[in-house]
Amino acid sequence: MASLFAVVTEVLEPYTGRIVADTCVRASAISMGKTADELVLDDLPAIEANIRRVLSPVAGRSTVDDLLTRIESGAR
Amino acid sequence: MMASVSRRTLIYAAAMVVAIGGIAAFMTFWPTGDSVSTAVSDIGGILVIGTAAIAALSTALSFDRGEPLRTQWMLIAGGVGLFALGDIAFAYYELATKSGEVPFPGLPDVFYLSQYALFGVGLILAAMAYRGLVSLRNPVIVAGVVSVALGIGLFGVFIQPVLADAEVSLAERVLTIAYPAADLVLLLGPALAIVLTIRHLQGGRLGWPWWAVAAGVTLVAVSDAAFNWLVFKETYQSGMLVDYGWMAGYALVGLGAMLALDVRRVFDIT
Repeated sequence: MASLFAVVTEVLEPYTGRIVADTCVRASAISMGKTADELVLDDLPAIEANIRRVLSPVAGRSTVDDLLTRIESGAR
Repeated sequence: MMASVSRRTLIYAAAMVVAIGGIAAFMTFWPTGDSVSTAVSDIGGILVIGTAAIAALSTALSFDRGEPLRTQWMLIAGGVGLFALGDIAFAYYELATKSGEVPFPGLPDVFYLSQYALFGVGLILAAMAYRGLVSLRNPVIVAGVVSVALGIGLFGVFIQPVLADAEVSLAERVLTIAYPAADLVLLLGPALAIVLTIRHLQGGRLGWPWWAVAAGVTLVAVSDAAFNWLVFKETYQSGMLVDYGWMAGYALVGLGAMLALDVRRVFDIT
């Protein structure tokens, strides 16, 4: 099964590009005192909150909701 | 990328190409300066730019109240709409008055200048919205430096000759400075900042609308500079190449608005 890091970046990449998607997840991981590879399903709410915070101003609420739905379905 | 662009956007783009191309073709084969050619150029421009304003407005309204994108697109729609109103006033003077002379400065300038405030703030807000994703420091610095450099160049080429001309009225001098200054500060500068910001997205969908908007804004600013020069030289006539620059520029802004709607369709991506 793909790691949470891989799932999130795969969903975000078409929107933000690889580097920004990568940075977005790594920043979330660092804020939780972890590395990106150490992220687990329990960390998903915190990652989603961070994605919502940075993406909502540029993507819109409904788009972010859809992206998070895709992330959740990919992660579970 | 094409697979993610909606049919609606493709129809809009095709319609704009046909409309602008049709007007250009007509103007090529019809005698310049004739009242019919002036009407086709003026009314065609109003329709093209008005359509772009409607596209931007519909995109703005597709976002919920309070969303930053709704505010950004609403301001951009207002800016494009004000330019279209300026064109309507311009066409009125050219087509419906006896002399056919458009006053400069005059009512069209009120609309043309007002658009900068809305459009500029919309673009600045759009660039600032990316601050959570990428650093804005370098884009802002580079855009500022480029704008100042272009300003110095424009001053030497366009503004200084006008200021040095004793026959030019004070109001004309003020407008001659106001247009290029507003182009640089409120259109080109923010557009460059947006481009330098969204290039970090490496072609990501979120950047698509703003590539189109930045290209459109650049065309508009170049057309403004050319128009001011032609007016100063008293050689401007409706239907000249500069008119298509405005039409194409605002059509691109409208295309950006249409792409902003396409970007929202998350589940279309495979």
